[in-house]
Amino acid sequence: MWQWLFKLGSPKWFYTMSGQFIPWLTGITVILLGVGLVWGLAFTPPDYQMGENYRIAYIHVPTAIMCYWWYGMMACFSGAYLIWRIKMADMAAKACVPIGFTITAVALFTGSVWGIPTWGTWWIWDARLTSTLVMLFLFAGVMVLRSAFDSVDAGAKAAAVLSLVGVVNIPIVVYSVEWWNTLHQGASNLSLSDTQANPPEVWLPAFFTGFGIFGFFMLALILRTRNEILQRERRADWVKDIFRSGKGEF
Amino acid sequence: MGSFDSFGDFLSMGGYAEYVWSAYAFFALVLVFNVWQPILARKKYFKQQLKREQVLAERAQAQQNSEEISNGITT
Repeated sequence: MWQWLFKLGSPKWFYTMSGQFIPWLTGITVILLGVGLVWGLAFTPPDYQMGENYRIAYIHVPTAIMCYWWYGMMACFSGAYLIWRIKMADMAAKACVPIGFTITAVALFTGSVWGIPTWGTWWIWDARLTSTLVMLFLFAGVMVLRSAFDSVDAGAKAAAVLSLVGVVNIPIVVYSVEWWNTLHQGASNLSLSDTQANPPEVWLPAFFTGFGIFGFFMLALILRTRNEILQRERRADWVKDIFRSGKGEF
Repeated sequence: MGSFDSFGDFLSMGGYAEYVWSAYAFFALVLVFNVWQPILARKKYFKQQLKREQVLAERAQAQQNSEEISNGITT
């Protein structure tokens, strides 16, 4: 276990291993997303109140759940960097930020679009919506704060500290629908029975899109982390060898 | 086609076409951005590094040439 963690902290080991992992992850992601999207868009029956509009939920629910998990992951990398000074953890944390920002943007956008015909408004200062917007600003803030420093080290430290402070927002996003009784509904009860409100044929596609979207963003994280490694380790011999081989592709 | 009678029916999404498809279009845009951006950045970085290597090699060559010339003058 510790040896594995130690290896993961080595940029060269991560670069080599992730290179072999990319085609597999791409394949799995394409299959999961393909099945989930076709199933959710074309084959599940329409909702008896929301009609076909509820199909937005197949991308809204997974991205909305993922945005705070993603924030938590970024915070873990930041913590690992601050405590143990692991360079790889900082590179991964940096790579997490733009991806987390776009995941949160998708959650907010799809929710707004769904809300126009359903709630009659695209935005309301509801607890869940507001705290998710704060999460979007936190991702943007971490990104801007890092770039505001001339020194790479100082920028990394400042970004890591802000990431950790922003963790306070995660329970607010998660429990907002229970703590405050505003507009956004709570989580639906998933049922295994066909006679209940949410039978498997309705929620199962969301698992496919959910894991597919997660796989996709993990892929994006790997690509960005690899770029970061090439930048920071450019003076290392093994990176120079990669440049000389001219392999611009993955 | 699944729960729809025709492809046109599928596209019209029971009257919710602009909502459903704009949500999915934004999602697709974000997916494309998240993969293309790092791939383009990588390609650009590789080109830059190759150029750097070339410039360094040329400079080393020029240095060597000028040393040879100056050596020729002194002897």
